[in-house]
Amino acid sequence: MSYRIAIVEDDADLRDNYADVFRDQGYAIDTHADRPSAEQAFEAALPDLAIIDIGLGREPEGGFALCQWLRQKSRSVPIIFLSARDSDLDIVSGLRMGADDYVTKDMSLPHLLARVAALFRRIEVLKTETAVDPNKETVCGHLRLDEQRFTAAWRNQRVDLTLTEFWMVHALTLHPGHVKKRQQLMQEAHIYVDDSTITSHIKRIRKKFSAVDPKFNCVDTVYGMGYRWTADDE
Amino acid sequence: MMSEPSRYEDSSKRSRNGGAASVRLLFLVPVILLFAIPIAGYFNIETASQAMLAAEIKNQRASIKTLKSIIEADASLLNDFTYLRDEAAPLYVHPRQSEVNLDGQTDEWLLIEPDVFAKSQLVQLNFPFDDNSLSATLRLQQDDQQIYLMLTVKDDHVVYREISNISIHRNDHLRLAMTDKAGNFQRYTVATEQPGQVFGRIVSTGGRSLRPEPRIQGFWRATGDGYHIELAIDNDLVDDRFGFGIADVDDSISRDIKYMLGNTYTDSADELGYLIHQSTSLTALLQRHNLIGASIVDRYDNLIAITDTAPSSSMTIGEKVFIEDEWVATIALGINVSAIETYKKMALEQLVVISAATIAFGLLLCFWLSGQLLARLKRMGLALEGVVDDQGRVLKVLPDAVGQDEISELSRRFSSVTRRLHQYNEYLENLSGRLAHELRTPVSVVRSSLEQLETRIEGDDIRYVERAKNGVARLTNILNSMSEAARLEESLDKNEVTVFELTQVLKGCFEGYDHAFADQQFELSIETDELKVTGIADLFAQMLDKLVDNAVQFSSATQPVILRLTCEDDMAVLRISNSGPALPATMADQLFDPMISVRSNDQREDSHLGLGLHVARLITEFHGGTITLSNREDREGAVVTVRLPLLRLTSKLI
Repeated sequence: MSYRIAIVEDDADLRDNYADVFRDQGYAIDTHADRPSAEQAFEAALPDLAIIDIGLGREPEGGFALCQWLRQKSRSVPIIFLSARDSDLDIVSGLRMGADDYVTKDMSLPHLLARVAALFRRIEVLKTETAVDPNKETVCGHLRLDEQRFTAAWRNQRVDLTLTEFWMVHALTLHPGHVKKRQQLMQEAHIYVDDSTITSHIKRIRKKFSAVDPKFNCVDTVYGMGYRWTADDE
Repeated sequence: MMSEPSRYEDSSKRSRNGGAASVRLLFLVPVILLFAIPIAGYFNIETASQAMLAAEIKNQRASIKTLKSIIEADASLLNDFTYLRDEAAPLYVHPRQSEVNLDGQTDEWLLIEPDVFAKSQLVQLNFPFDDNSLSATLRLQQDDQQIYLMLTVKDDHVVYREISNISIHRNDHLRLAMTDKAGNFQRYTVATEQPGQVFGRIVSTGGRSLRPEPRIQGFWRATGDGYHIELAIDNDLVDDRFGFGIADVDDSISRDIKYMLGNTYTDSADELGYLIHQSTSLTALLQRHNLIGASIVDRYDNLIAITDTAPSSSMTIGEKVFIEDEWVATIALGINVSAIETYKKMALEQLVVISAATIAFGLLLCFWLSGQLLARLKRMGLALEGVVDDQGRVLKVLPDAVGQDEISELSRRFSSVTRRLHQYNEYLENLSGRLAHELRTPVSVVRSSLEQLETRIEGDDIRYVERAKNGVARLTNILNSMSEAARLEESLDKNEVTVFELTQVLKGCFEGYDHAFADQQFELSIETDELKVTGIADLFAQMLDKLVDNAVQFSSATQPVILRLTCEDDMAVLRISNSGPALPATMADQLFDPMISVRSNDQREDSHLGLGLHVARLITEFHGGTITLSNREDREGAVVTVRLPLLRLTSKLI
């Protein structure tokens, strides 16, 4: 069965473009131009994934409201924010409201498709409860990255990363000790943002690991170059 | 165009220096007008006193005319006044002023002007006259009973009468001749054997002395240079004809009369001189008319009539009186100038006081008012000063002034102007961010459409899609840098401020630059190892990236970009210098403003928008520092200087 994706976007051209791309990939697409019509449709049937723009028509924060509303209805529906707004504040607010990822409209369609596919794969893997495939797992010291489910664990405790964050950590740990430039991190995480947004992503990653282990200090800033994963001594 | 801001700055400085004084001076102008008050007042008083004087003169002249016509109409008024022919030698008799003591002393006579008799008054000359030999003065007074005579004689040899000598004329003596009321002519001689009491002796027509006349008595006093004779003669003996002669005998052996001084020859009644008295009827006339300060003088200036009060002022007016076309006397009236002078003096004093008070008050008022105004203008100026910074950015809005007058209104206008400017500034500052945001969706539409198109086009045509995608990518780049400043301002979060070691961050970044810019040489010099600053290290690194990127862009590849970190006056000073073209002189300040760039077109390949230095300034200012851009001293390149305040020693200890 094909997944049903709801695209909530007020720009008709962009909405149709996205719809076409996803349809080409075999997804079933519902499109909505504003919050009320989206809510009405979701009331009838929940989509398998929602891609939501923040500014919706006359409501500059309509996407946030819709996300909150949808989260109340379902804890599990994956939500991706797709917005022209790329400020830290918006990203943080969006993720705090329970979105699974936040990408900007600069993102290319193939990247977006990869992201959506990754999310569905995660859902599928979680549903089937298949055993962890050791080939799809990266272990780096106390860190375990499951590339099938896109989940991370630190000292056997789960760290709740968004897809972007997962890919960044993945990129860093591929070659521990090597400096990854911001540009490289962007490529690996399939996003295209500016340096300061990368900085704030890194900040959030550190915070999430610190929440699990206050002594976590493996993500190191190399000023003027980028970041590196320092392997823990043990 | 580019030099405009500095020109405004100059003019504002000029006005600050000169403005206050000139406004103060302007306020003094009306005060100068106040000086017209004393001047006008002075002329006014002058005119008034002139008018008063003229009125007084007119008034007095009218009185004189009246008097004159009265006298000219009634000749009987002149009965007791002898108005004289030219040939007659008159003697003026003063009214008695005080008790006369017949002692030969002159004390009671001092107020009377004496008639002087000398060579030209000789009536008889038997020897050549010697000036030192004889001279005399005569003064006359009269009361109801007697006429008093004071004779002072200077004589080099006083020869008294010999007791044995029968003649009384062979010594120094005084001869008198007069007609009594009945018209009888009589001569008298006063001589004495020694100083002391004397009597007149009746002298016969033949010249012999007969009996003494007790009604002529007095005192002969010897003095160092002659003698005094003080006599009292009964009024019965004298009418108005009177003559006297002082006979001088110097040789006590021969006893011949050498010469005689006097008013007239004394041998006949016809030749006697006249006595001039004050006229009772004229005096009564003056008093009847209640004239103050009035007098009548005869043609020899002898006072004929006078009111009780002598004219008190120096100014008199006169009118001649004529009888049968002959000038007989002059009426004089004093003008009461002193009253006018007193008025004038008082008025002037008042004027001075009032003017001084007015001017002083006016000055104070003007100073107070101008002070008030200037203080308000100054306050407004100071308030304005902080509104716009050196680069012309509006930092804050001027507070609204309370009040109704023009200055408050002006202040409010300034405030409204700055508010509008501020809004416009904010609008401009946010413009790029908002523009970037608004453009993002349409750009996404284009890009997503291109991506779709890419999958559907076959063959060579794909290259057009590729070109379009390149264009879109560059557009996206531009949009990113446009919104960078806005995003940065959000990330300037005081909560994330920590203490970090500047040298470490600089070293770390420096390593990266060698990698990032393979074609460019770098030099790093760090003079001090420990330079702790408070702030956000990531931001500092970001700023460094921008500045180095900038320096590399302008640097000629063969010359290194030099990074130098020093500590100067509690400030960490980082200088990044590159060789290359000098900065345009006029734009040094503006280069930190968004969208200002001096790159030539071939340098623009990387979609620069001139936001790099703007971002660097935002970060520097967040760290409480300053950033300046200048030419290298050798003018072979530019240098950016960043000054950051060091962590205070005290907080370092904590």
